[in-house]
Amino acid sequence: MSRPRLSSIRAKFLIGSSVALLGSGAISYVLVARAVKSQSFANMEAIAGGLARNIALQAAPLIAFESRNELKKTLDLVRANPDFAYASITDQDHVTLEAINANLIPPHVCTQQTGVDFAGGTMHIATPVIDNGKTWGYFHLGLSLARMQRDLRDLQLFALVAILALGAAGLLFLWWLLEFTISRPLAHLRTASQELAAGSFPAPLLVTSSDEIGDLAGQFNRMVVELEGVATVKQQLLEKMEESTANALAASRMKSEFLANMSHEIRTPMNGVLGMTGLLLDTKLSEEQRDFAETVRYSAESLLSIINDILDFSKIEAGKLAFDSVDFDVIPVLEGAVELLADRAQAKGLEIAVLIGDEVPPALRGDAGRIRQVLVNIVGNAVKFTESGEVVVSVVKEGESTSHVGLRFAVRDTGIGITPEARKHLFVPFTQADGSVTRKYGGTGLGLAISKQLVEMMGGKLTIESEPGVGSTFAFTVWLHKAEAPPVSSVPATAPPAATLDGLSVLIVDDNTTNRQIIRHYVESWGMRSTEASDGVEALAFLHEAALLATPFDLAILDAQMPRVDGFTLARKIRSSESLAEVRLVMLSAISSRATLADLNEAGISQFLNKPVRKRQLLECLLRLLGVEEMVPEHGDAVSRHLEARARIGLGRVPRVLVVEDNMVNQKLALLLLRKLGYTGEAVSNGKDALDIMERSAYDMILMDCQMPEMDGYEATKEIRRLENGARHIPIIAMTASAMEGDAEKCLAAGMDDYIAKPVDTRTLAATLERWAISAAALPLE
Amino acid sequence: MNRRILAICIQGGLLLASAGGQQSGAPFAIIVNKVNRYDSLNRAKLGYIFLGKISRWPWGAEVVPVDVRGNPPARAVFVKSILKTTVEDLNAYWIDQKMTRNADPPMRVADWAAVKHMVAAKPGAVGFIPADMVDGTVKVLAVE
Repeated sequence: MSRPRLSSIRAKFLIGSSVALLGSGAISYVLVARAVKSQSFANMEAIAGGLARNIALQAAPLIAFESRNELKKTLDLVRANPDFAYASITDQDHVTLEAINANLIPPHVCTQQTGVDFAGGTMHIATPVIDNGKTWGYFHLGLSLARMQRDLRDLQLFALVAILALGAAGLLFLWWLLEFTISRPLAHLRTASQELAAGSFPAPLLVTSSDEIGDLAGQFNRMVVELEGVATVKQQLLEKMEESTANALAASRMKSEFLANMSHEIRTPMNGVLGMTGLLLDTKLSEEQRDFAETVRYSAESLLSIINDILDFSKIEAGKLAFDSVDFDVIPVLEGAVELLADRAQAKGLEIAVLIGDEVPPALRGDAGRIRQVLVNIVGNAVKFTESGEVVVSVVKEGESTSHVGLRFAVRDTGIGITPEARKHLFVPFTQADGSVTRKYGGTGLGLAISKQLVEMMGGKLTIESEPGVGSTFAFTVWLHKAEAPPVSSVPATAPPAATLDGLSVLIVDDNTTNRQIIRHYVESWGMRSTEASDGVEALAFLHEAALLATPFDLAILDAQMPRVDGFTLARKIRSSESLAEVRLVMLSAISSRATLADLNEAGISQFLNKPVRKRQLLECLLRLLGVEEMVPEHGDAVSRHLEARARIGLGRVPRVLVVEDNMVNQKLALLLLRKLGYTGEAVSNGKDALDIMERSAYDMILMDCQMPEMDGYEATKEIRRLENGARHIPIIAMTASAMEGDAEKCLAAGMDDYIAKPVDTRTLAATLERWAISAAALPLE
Repeated sequence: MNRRILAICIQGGLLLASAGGQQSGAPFAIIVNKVNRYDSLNRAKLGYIFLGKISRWPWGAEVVPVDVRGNPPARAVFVKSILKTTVEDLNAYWIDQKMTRNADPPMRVADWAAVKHMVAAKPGAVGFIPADMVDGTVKVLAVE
């Protein structure tokens, strides 16, 4: 929609009024011209007629007495007429008596009345000369119309010019009128409207007339005032809104910051509670005391879990969540997460299984902790909401680019499922699937919300498929950077040495289809031939059949927990059968199973594995079974493992660790842990004291808390490094209360070598200490 | 046709009557000079002459109408029958003519004998006298 231009009004007006004026002018001209013409002719006729009649009156006696002279004189009188063309007088027999310009006289027919003829530009009048009732003769008069016509033409021209001039004058006048009454005011109005449309408020229009335009201008002005008022109100509202938004945001941010900052304050005492409880449980306790202590630990762990969720959530909101970028092996992370929950799952009678895809690379870079956190949350939910059946956790390679690998993690369960209603609220913080869930299942309702955020912050997306009553599948894909070198701890889990297993036949016995499939997948990737049996009866049938065909199975993997005929019973049956004596047996058992070594020996089983089955563990087990690897007992608690660590370090003595920690409980805890792990240690309360004590004694490692009064961990570390001056390098491990953005960098920048998060996890501490003890051993102690 | 013949007969009769010098029933006779070429004139022409509308005879001689003074009965008859008007109107006419054209009425001589003498003397003269006074000194015009 184009705006009509004001000039087009002018144009329209111009054209319109021109046409009108021109039209009326033309019409009037034509009418006037015709009137004038006919009037002229009438005049001429009248004059001629009068003249003729006059002459006729005088002529009678002259004609009667044939007075030619007199007649001539009379005609001469007529000649004076300016239009005179010709004239003649005849007697009653039409014999010309006298004439002037006789040659011009046209032939004619006379009647008794005066006759008028127009021919060849001449008006001809013929009048009979009648007197006393007697026609004496005829008088003919010819008047030239040339002059009349000339006059007419002149008049016409004049009229034309006059009409045009008047028309032009009229047009100009109308134009002027239009301009002043409409065009100008309209232009002002238009300008003002444009201004208004562009957003600024125009000055009030001058109301110069009391007509419609003036009224419009007045209305416009009122409208502008209105709009100005509205704009002011709007502005005020906007300002108020901005203010309240800013306030709200500020308040929210303050809250999140507060929580994020409080992390340290909260975790420190938790560290104490959990640590001490753990140590307490390691001591000799009565049934009752153990029960109480375990309850305390369980409660503390729940509390810690809730606190972590809340702190994580607020960190995410405050935008202070940072992701690690460390090289790690994803397989142990997955298996570890599942192991955490395996107990709980198997206690409910659920099968829990792990499936590692073939092409999952062993080395990737990312935040292992967060990935584990998400997995624990999702698997935990799966276990929580499944009453019977299985939970299968898998990771497969989804894609690969030059720099990244995409991994798809999935957790499938046969649980109660999620209704479409519940799905809406799934990721909303602090809500459960429905009200009954909290009562029945517990939980803060933050876990999934955090998991979703974490996954998305890692560039992935958390997806859900679910059918109520059938089960659910939670899945997410993350793209992790390829790592340059595989981490130290990885052991190739895919290729068995020199095709040892290739071609061997194995019978897989498990009532759970998924488990069978997973194991089958693994063994076939090592070149073995496998057969599946879903219960003991079927298994025995296969075994006997194979034996009969002289192609007995080399191995049989048995699931301990099976309905009707359980694994142990089956094992005994196999052992008691002569033909099956050569078959080597591996037992898969739930972690919570109370089976002892004695049970295994009695059943004739030399190897067993905990469920969920880990690929590497399975491989090692099979190899051991075939006598390739040394028998190493699977059960190893932290203590024995790290006693070995010490042996491997080759220090020949117990390593000394300095603990720098301002909290007394944590100090005590740390020392006790160290002792448990086979180290010796001393503790000081701040950085200054640390420097002092280091002057007196030498240490192999330092555990440094970051936040301390007087001199904090960073300062102390910097000072220590300065004093070292490149001579020797004591491994300093930071203990941080929170993984805030920049914390890791801060620690490393200050000169620290590693960090562990508080509350300190025993296993993590052990692993970290071991790692750095080995490197410390490379340098001699002063 | 018959009427025309009758008219001619009557006129012929009258003509004969007047040629004898006497008009039986007609109180006056129109006289002209002997040289006058007309033998008769119609009433309209006579009218023209005596009303001053004509000034020359076709042969160029000047027309001289002669009137008598006073108002003898023959004159009234002449005025009535030839000029088709009354003596009073005639007077008015001549006043008007004098005013507008500065035209004079015909000369008025003393008596019938004077008229006769004038007509006989002037070649272009024309007048009227009682019919019984006509003699050989003047020519009589028949009235058509």
